[in-house]
Amino acid sequence: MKRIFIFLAVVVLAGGLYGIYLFNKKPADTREETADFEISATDLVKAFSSDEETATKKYVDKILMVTGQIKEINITSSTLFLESADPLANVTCSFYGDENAKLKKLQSGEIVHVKGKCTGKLMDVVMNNCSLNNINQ
Amino acid sequence: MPRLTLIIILFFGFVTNAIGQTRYFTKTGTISFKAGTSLEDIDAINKSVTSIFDLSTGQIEFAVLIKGFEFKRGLMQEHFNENYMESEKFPKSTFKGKFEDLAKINFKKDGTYLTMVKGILEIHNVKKEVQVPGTIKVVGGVISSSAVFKVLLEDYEIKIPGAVKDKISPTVEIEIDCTYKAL
Repeated sequence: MKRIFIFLAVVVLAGGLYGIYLFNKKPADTREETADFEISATDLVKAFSSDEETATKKYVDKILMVTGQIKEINITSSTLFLESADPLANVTCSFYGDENAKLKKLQSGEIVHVKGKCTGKLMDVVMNNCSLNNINQ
Repeated sequence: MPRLTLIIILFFGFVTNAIGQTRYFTKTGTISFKAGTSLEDIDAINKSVTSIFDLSTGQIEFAVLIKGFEFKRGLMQEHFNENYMESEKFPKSTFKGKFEDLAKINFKKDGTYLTMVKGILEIHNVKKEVQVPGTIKVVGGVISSSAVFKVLLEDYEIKIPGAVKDKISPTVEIEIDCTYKAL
């Protein structure tokens, strides 16, 4: 009888601790995840402008490795804008704040590989939780 | 058709440039909100807000992707997207409105201007007319906007299940901050 109580107590305690762990768990760090798709900024913008619904189903909430040329760097907001063939739509890449040191070394016109989570399209296709990556990684 | 739109946009772009800059935009504005109670802190921030305004007409617009809101806790972010905002079905939230007192704001002169903006706020596929007090700041010629206001979840048909009713506030405080560039 006593043994059953101890067993139950352990189960309840473990369950409770697991609950607390789940509750406090941070959102996944995209830097530790592998990309679901590798795509150029131009193709990504093209996919959204030609068929937003299909592109949304395919790319939104997915980890993308996007390759493109830097149009503009905004350090205050840790954001890079990548050029696409469409002058009115870029790829907005919002980086983790601690990636700023790396962003400061970049210049407009450079080609970069950005990994992050696609959140959809407003004027630009938007990527969140971004980080810089080397080509052979 | 897209080419025609582009030509029209470029054409008007040149015209407004010729008569002086009137349109300003940002793609890196922030919107954050607080929806917690004393039992639980629930807050999130989105740093890729798009906003555009035209100082000749007083029109101002904001757009944000729901999936871009970041929470401190992963499960909260998941519930926010899946259960409350249904971001799969309704990916964006927008505001389209006008300055009520455009004449009071001198966008060319440094200063802090209190203003009122009236328009349609769309959250969770529900459109409501709202009137929101905001601030326009001009510092060294750079224009920024900010506003703090509250919305009732009920107004936007966002349902909170009984089990978490005392953890999620029925009114959510929203804060907006945008720094603009000339278009």
